[in-house]
Parts: sequence; structure tokens; C-alpha cells
Amino acid sequence: MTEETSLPPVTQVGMVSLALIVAGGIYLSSHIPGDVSLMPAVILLVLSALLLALNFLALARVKNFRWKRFFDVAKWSFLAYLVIAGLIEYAFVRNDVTGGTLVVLTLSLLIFAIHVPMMIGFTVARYD
Amino acid sequence: MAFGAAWTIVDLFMGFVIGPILGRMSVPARIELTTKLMPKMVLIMPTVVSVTLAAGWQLGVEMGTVDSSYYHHGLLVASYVVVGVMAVIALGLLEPANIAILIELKKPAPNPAVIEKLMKRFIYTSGIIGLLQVATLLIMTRIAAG
Repeated sequence: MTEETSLPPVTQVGMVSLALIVAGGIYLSSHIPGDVSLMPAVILLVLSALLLALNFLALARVKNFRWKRFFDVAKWSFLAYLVIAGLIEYAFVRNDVTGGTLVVLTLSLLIFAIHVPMMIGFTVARYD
Repeated sequence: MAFGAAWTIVDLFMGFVIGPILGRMSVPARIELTTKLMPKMVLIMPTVVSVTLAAGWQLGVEMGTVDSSYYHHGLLVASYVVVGVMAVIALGLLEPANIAILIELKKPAPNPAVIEKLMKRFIYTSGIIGLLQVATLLIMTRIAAG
């Protein structure tokens, strides 16, 4: 196992990032079908993206991390979550979501499709 | 509805039945059960969750219950929050633990300490998600009661 004390809180930060985009999604879906300001959802999305970037940076600085194992697992997980995100995106388009709302939800799905495989890869690699 | 019920039942069963039983088994027995159980869980749980959420949302759109003008809109939003919390826990803790257990079990000499640690995480988070499922049942009952 990689030394536990030297690992950044990737899982915890990832969960907060996911919670932020989930909150944005709840905010948008709770106002259907009326018009709603996108600003709160955009702010949550930006914060989520920042946490994703911070997570990558923090993990990149870990010495002796099992990167091969991480990428072995994360790449397949990413493929699976890309498919899932694509299905959800299709549901949005089928339900006539358009404009800024669709852009925010699409970017949220992108963060989701990146962050979950990252957490899966990290969990496997840390215990390798 | 069937997949939703299956999701609830499986989570509660894993957390409150399988978990305590697993804790009282010997280490070799735990490893054997885990080896056979976890691959199935990787297939079953994402499937029931995805179908439940997708079908449930489409049903809500068809029936108009997701509209902000719906009489029980507040309760619907409460259910969104509960499901959102479940999704974050499942995606952040449960599924990574599941995959990590599977990969550890495929090694020629799996580390029992790692499996035990990850199984505890899996069982506890299943139990928490099961309790949150009960919360969604309460919300649905409240909505159905009018």
C-alpha cells in the first residue's frame, strides 16, 4: 500500500465536488419548466471544476504513487462513465433541455465522468 | 418501480443482514463469500440504480409531477436531495470499494487486511444508503397520502 499519511484526501474532495454538481442539478431540475437564473448553477459548477483541478494537482505531487495501477483502472472506468454520461445527456436532449441549462448540465456531466473514475482508480491504487 | 424496490431491498439486506453475518464469519469464509458476491454486486447495483433513476424521472415528466407547479413540489425536491446524497456516497465510497475488492481478490495472494477494510466500507455505506432509501419511502408515502 502507498503510505497512508502521504496521500491527499482525493476521495473526500471528489465527493464534495460531486455534491456541488448534484446541488446544481437539483437547483435546475427543481425549477422545471420555468425560467431560472443559471448563476447559482454556474457558480457550483465552477467550484466543482476547481476541486477537480486541485485533486489532480494534489495527486500528481504524491511520491511513489501506483500510477500504472491507477491508469489501468481509471481508463476503463472512464469509458464506462463516458457511456453513462452520454445516456444521461441523451435524456436531457430528449426532454427538450436547451441553451444555457444544457451547457451547464453537459459540463457537470463531464466533471462527473472524470471525477468518479479518478476516485475509483485512486482507491484501487492506494491499496495496491 | 420494480428496480427501485430492488435497490432498496438489496441495500438494506447488505447493510443489516449480510454485514453482521460477515462480521461473525472466519476470515477464509469471508474471503470466499466476498469473492463470489462482489462481482455480482458490480453488475446488479449500477443497473438497478440507473434504471430506477432514468425510469423514475421519465415517469415524473410524463405525469407532470416534476413541474415546479406540482402540489407536492417541496417533497419532490426533498427526494432529489436524498437521492443526490445517496448518489455521492455510492459513487465516492461504495463503488470504488467494490472495484478495489474485486481487483485485490484477483491477485495470487490477496491481502486479507485490505479486503476487510474495504468490505467494512462497503457494508457500512450500504447500510447508510439503505437508511436513506427508507427516507425516500417515507417521502413517497407522504406524497401518495396527499
